[in-house]
Amino acid sequence: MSTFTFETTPRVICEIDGALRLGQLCRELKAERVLLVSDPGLLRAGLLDAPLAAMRALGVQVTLYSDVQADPPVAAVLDAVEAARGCGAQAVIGLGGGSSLDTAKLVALLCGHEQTLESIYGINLAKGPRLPLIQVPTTAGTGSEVTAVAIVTTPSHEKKGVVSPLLYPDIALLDARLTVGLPAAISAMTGVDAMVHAIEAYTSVHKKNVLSDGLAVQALRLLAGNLDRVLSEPGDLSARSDMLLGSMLAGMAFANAPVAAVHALAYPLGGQFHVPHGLSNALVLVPVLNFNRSAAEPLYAQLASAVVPQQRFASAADACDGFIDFITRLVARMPFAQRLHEVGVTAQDLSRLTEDALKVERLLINNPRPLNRDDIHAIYASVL
Amino acid sequence: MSYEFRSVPRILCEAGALQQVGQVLSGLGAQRVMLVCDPGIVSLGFAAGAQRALQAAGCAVTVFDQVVPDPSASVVKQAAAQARAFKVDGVLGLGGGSSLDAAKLVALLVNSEQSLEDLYGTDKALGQRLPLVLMPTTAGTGSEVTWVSVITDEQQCKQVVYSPQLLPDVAVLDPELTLGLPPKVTAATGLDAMVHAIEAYTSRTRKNPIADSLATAALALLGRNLPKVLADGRDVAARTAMLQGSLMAGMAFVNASVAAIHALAYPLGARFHIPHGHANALVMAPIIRFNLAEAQHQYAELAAYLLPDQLFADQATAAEAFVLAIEALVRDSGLETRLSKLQVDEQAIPSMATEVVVGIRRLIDSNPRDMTEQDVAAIYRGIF
Repeated sequence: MSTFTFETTPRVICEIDGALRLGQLCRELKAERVLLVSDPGLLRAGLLDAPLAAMRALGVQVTLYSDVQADPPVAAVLDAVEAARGCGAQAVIGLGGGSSLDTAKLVALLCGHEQTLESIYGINLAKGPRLPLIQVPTTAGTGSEVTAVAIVTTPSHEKKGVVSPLLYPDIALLDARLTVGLPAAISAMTGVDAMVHAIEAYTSVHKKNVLSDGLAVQALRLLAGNLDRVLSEPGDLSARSDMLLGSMLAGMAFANAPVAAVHALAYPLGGQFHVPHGLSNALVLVPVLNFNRSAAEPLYAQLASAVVPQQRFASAADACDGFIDFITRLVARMPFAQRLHEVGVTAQDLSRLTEDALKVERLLINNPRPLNRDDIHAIYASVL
Repeated sequence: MSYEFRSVPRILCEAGALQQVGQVLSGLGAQRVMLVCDPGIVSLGFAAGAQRALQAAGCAVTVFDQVVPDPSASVVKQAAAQARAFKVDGVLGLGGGSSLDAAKLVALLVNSEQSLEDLYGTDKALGQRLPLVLMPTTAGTGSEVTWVSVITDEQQCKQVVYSPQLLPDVAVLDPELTLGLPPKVTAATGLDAMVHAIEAYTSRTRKNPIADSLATAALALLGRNLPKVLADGRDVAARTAMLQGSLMAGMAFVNASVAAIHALAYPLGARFHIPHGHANALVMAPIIRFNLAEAQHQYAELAAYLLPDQLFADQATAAEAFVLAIEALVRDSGLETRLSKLQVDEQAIPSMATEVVVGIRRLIDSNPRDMTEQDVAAIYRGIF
């Protein structure tokens, strides 16, 4: 437990309207020609106008690639690489949700060093250098701005991941102004996703470490304290800032102390039923917490002080109850589906989901309590 | 609210990590490495261990082992000249804060056209530095995660270089290197690290939530483990926790600032050659007592981390318990607590007080309670 490696993004800027400083940051990175990677929704919403204008006002030549799709297909990533080469980009900016940031990571990598995407699937196969990279998340969130992973979807609908410390950007820029327009359902799903990152990092059996722990606790405090507020007052910039920060800190934590069963059980819901990632996590979160209880009671008890700081508990068991109860109530009041049947899952699907979840062994091994086939089936069945 | 947070991109923590420094540096592309350390590190055999590890990884090594406490400008220049003559392409700093501070400057100066004097101040460095790995042997200064180097110029004045390029590529923690630290060094450096955490948390200028989470986690680790390493210096788990706490406190203070404790400690070091950690230990308790009027709520918050097993009736009680606990830690540290016993000249107090409030103004500005020259002189007299 005292042996660990901790890697992260070396520079973080938290500033409302910080996106207007992108031009200056490009200059600092000595980039005159830049590719901005984003998605059609942000373009339509006009969120790119001000940052683009601010960059151009400083003489930075920005080319916009705004065709990022959810679960980025390989072909789209390669399109973005072409766009970067075409404009002679010297730096890449990712501005958007996890898909835009993942695409930007791969563009910076493939343009910085001649290599094919297929050759770098896996862990530490990518070669540097990459182009200078700035990541600006617009959801809170995936934490992708501080993780070393990019996921793409192959033509045969397989998910492939590139894992490399080269994928940490030079700068993560958190600008809460970019998140005020997020619909409530998206804010809720991504917010719960970020909470899951913090919880699973804190209870991870492998690679749990003091740095990740400190960041995870602070993340959970910020996320638990502000999620309701951004749903009731979407324009509250202070609460939005705290959510972005909490999401990033949770990202820093789970990038170094990996996630576990909640994610393992969520993936098949995304793969088979196209349930958004955050919602998939939210659907299985509470039953997994209850399942883990016998093994993780002391850790959940410690997390209670982050989510219900005013409350005093007589024992670790009470504090653990307090924590699980808080999360259960929070998920229950979120404006999204609460049961698997609401997203199209039927009793006949549970076996196939279970088999697929069992395949995510790389995450299941991080769970504080081991799960077998029956355990997984029972968890899915409990939220059908 | 707007702030930046910078950190080392990679941290390794492992007992026996000294044997890995060769791979770490060659992984950064270095083939000709300068080891920067002091004569003590050589006589302990650590320099030879580092050299063996570097050579095993195929690196040619030149050793500069003449670093002295509060390193002088001329020592840094000598080291840089030796590095240029050997055509080094990577630097390993191994030792206490002085060796690490010197190593940072060497890495920056080798390929630079700037002189050391050109770098004094904030953000004056123009070029890129060489690959740089820092390995602390005290817990500590936190220098392995800061972008600050402090040196003593020809006029015996402290000069500070603040430059983001001073952050290393990798910080490596090996608790085995700290097992033999004498109790007085353990106490002084351990209290120094606690001061970093406390002053970061109460900083009036750049306090931020990321630094807060690291400072609180650091304080918990340091407070719990300092008595253990003083009782048994060979307690590897406690030594590991001290190094981790020191590193996290370093990350916190470099992003949030230190304050009056450091300001009052500087003249004691520069004029009377009291080691930095001991100088901090001398002034920390009276300054925390002085600050209580303005920082009560923050000290009460910190009490939860320093005294996790206690429950407090109210904020005032918690804050008072925090101050008492700090006073007890200093008292039990085994360090001399009176200036008169340390060859400090009483006549120097007025001019030291002037230096603190004029010359080191930026640190006083970060203190939770403002300080006049009279306040400073009274604090010095109180511990004379």
